[in-house]
Amino acid sequence: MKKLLSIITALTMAFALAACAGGGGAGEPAQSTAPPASSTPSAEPPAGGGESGSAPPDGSPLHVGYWDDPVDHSARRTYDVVFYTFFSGSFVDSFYAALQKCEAKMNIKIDYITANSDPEKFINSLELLSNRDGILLDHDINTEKRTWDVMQDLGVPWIAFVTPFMDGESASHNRWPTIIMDGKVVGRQAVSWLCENYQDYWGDIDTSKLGMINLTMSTAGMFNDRGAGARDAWMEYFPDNLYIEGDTAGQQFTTETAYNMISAYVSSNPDVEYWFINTIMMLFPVGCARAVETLGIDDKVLITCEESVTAIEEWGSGYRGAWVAAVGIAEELYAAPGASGIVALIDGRATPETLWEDAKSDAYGFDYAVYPLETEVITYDNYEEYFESIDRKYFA
Amino acid sequence: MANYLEFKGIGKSYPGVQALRDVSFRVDEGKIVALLGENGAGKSTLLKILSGDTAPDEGVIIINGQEQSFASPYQAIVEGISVIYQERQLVPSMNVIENIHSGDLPANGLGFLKREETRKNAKEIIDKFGLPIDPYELVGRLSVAYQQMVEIMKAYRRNSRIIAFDEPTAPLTDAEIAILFRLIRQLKDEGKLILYVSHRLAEIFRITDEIVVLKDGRMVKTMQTVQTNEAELIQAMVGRDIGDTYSRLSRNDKFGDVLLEVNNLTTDVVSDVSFRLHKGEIIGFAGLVGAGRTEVVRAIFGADPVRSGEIRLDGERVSFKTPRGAIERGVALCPEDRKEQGLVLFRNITDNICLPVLGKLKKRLFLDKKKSEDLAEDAVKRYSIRTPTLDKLVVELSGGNQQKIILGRWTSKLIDTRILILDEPTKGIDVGTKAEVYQMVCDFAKAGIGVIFISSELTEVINIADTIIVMHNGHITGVVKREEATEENVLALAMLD
Amino acid sequence: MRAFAKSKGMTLLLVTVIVFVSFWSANPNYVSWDNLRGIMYSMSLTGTITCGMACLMMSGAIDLASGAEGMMGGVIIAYLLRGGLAWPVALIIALLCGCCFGLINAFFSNVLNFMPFIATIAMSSVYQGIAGAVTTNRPIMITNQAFWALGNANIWIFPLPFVIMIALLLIYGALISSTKFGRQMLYCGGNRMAARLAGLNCKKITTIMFVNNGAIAVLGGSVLASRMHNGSMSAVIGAEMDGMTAAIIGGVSFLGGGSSGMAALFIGILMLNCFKNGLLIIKLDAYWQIVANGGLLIIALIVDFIREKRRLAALLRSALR
Repeated sequence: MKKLLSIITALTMAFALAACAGGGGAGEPAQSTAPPASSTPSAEPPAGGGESGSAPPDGSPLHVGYWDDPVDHSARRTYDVVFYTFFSGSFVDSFYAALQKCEAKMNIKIDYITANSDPEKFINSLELLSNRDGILLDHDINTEKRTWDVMQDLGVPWIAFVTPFMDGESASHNRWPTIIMDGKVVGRQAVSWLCENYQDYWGDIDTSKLGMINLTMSTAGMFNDRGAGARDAWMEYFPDNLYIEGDTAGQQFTTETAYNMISAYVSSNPDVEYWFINTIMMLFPVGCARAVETLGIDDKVLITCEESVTAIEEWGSGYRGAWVAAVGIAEELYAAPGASGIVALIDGRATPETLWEDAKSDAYGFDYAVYPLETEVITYDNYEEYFESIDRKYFA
Repeated sequence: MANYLEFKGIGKSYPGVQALRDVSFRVDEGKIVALLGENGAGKSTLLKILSGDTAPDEGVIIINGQEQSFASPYQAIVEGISVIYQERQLVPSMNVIENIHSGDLPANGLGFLKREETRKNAKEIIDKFGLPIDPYELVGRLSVAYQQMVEIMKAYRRNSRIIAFDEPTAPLTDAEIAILFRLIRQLKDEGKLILYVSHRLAEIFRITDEIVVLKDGRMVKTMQTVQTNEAELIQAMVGRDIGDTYSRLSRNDKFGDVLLEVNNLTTDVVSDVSFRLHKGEIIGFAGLVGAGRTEVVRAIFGADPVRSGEIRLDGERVSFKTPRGAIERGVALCPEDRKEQGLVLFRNITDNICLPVLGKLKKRLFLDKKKSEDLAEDAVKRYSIRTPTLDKLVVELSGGNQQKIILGRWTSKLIDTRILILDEPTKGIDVGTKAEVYQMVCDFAKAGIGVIFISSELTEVINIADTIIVMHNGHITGVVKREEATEENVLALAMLD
Repeated sequence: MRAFAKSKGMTLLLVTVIVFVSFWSANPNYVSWDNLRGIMYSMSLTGTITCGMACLMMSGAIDLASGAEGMMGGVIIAYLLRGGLAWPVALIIALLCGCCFGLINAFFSNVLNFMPFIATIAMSSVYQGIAGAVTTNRPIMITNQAFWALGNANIWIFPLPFVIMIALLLIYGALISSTKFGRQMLYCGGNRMAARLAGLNCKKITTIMFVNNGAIAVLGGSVLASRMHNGSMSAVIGAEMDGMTAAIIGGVSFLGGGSSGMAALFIGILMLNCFKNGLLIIKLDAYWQIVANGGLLIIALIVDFIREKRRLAALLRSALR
């Protein structure tokens, strides 16, 4: 009898687990089960037919899927789009907030579902989204293969959001339309800016006395591309100057680590009078700023970062020191193309292969688009205006 | 008014066993009193009561006319009692001075140590006893003997009036024993009351003034050391009514071939042990605690490594690296510590009995419940294990029943035990169940099993075993056949160096 | 003095000198005043946390949440300062929170009889979770400029955090070696059973040390927050591991008792930090740095083992009897 009972209990537990995994998550079944509005399947803009909106002024397909796509979105029903993420937290929340701002113009309703970093839940809930109009997918690279398989079978238009899908072998080919921050581009942007604008802070200095410290995290995978981009830019402008790669692998990723490294590097190279410091992660520049203050060289150092969250806080509190710049990233820069891109796919006016035609680049294999985020370097003088301008540009 | 310590009518019982019964005697100031008795006589229990570790069920301890009872060992210490056990109660990483003070260091109002005073205190005591110990030496670096002396100095500093020693000479060399005795005599001259618990007769004659003999939990005799001799003491320790228990046993009188042969077995603890066990024979291993008997059987069973020597089973040389090997050849060991090493306390009777033969009770993926229960029931019936159901957890059973379960495990129908080794099987068991166990052992012998029986109760060994092997200090001191054995000659062999 | 020469401290001092001289010859700027101050700064956090942990370990307990407690200290004080409190008040409140952390640990360890090892590991996660939820993973800026002095001021030529660490080491060193309480604490750690028999209340003593450890950890975290001008949920985590490493190198036993050499502790921390700093300066590849740091630890332990082989054997023998 006991044996029988234990078998039954075990089976019940197994069923319960399977049931929970399948039906869990913050999602609800989509209301609309109607197929997408009629549309021509080709990527070419309809010659006057199809959508009731007007064709783009010059008839070129280049605006399809972009924010300024002149198609009249209100002439169709509201699309039901889901923002589906693996992670959760304040960053994801801000992406969602930005996406919600896009609902009005794009005539979509965006829903937010997260798997809270649970791989099984992520995959299983994904399969339930087959009745949605479109998906903006932010996945986790550890479950990429399974996610890919599910998405191929799902049959719903989708775009890779923030995390790209790279092909297995060389991991250099992007295989789906993606909106990501290209670390290399951004890193390069940050340091190039320093190289071109330092005179505003220092006047004309003897550039032979200039050196650079680049704080990277070689264990961080693609994240570390920022450091690579930064290094490339430096090598173009000042190939003969001192370059120190401050790899923080193996240490805690905190402000203190940055502090210690800067302190050590600067004090062991006294013949360098001026420094650029690039940091790829938002806690590092804080430590760098403090270190240079303590060393008393605050006026001879320029610090930049590929993330702007902490920069804005420091600047907002009145800081005007060596940390002069950061790469301004607003979530709207991701959200807008995400919304317009998914609309184009759902409409059928673009296919994954043709979306954002001019955003395909050699760097990623040239098959699918990687949307170029319009990031800019911001400083403590212009950062407020920068974010206002973004808002104006997209949502005014 | 001189100090004195009196035990009056002390009685203490544990489940199934009466450890002490109406023990009364007196220790006077400036006297060293020996507490003598064989294993199980009640010496340790009495010390536990004295040190405050446990409370007596009956009777009182009287110190200087006042009745005392201790709620904790600390209270006993406050009353001036120090018991020096075999395990050190010292902090090895601190030096001698601090250990002597045991935390009670002289300090000024703010809490800062008065170093000079502390050092002087300790130095005084060390010098008084004339010990060549560096006060700043870490206690962990001292030899065991000197650690023991630090314990004594600790007791002295506390102004203990009563100091009790529990087998203090076990780990000491002769030279160290001499120093220890000098210390003890000094304590006596200072008027301390000293209780010296031991079963080493030679030492007792050397150092003590009076002797109190305990037997089976009772105080049987006190005498002045000078007025007695060894023979008289042994007689007092062991002479007893055998009663009918043994005469009623139905024994096996036919032995078979040589089953087990052990030649020159040497391990870390025992040396050069040789003997033969025949089918149907019961060999009893007698000796004092620490003689090495358990170590011999552990080596045979594969639980301890063998340094040299050989073991032959049915003429074939065997060497068990692990107990598993021994079990598969039909050798079974019932360890001395039933609860920790023998039983799975929180499982029921069936589980415990079926433990070694689980492999044979499989039916496809599962355990054949019916078969296991049958096996258990059979054992329960055969050995009269008193229990309402098979489902009872063994931890709830009495010691006697627990032992029967262990025996039942090794002799169930599915197992083919050929050599059964029992280590102190009747420890903590009441007289009635003991008799049952004795008969079980004889029945095993009748069935052709070779039995090795270790016991510290002389009466038991002499009356159950066919051959008695006596050990002392790791080697065999004598082999006596049942017909010729008496308690006296066996005990003498057990104390023989 | 003679005792020190034989002691663990001597080994460490030797190793430190070797390390120092090697790096000096590799890059003379190693001994530039700026770099030495940098080393002092990097020592100060670990040193402060280690001080509290060592005392706790000597009394027989352990707190693996010390890093998390320090982190909470930084976060708490950042919030309090943002709320407008004067910094001495904020600091006192934060320290009181540290005492509460200690009480929680003491409760688990002494009342509920959990193993401190397990209980404090669990609490570490709890604190990190709380901090993560409250700060939403963004550092909280501290704009109270008066508070910045705590981490950035100098006492003569030495950074204040370093001076605080030295002061703590000296105070606790004196406490342990020269007061009755200190010796009783060691007694409890060395042999709890003997201590109980001697009438010492080990639970009370370890409770006091837990509270002490919590407060010191928070102090360390607050000083760091002042240096960085922010309270972050990822700060200080892991410092307890460095602390334990330094403590064990310095002779404090994991199991309680052990030597009470705060000097050895200090030299151990000095050695570790000089080494880490030197590796940065010679620009060794990051992965080899990890190997080297581990390697240094092993070398220090081996040298120590060789010197102490006999003593260890004797201790083992007496412990087994």
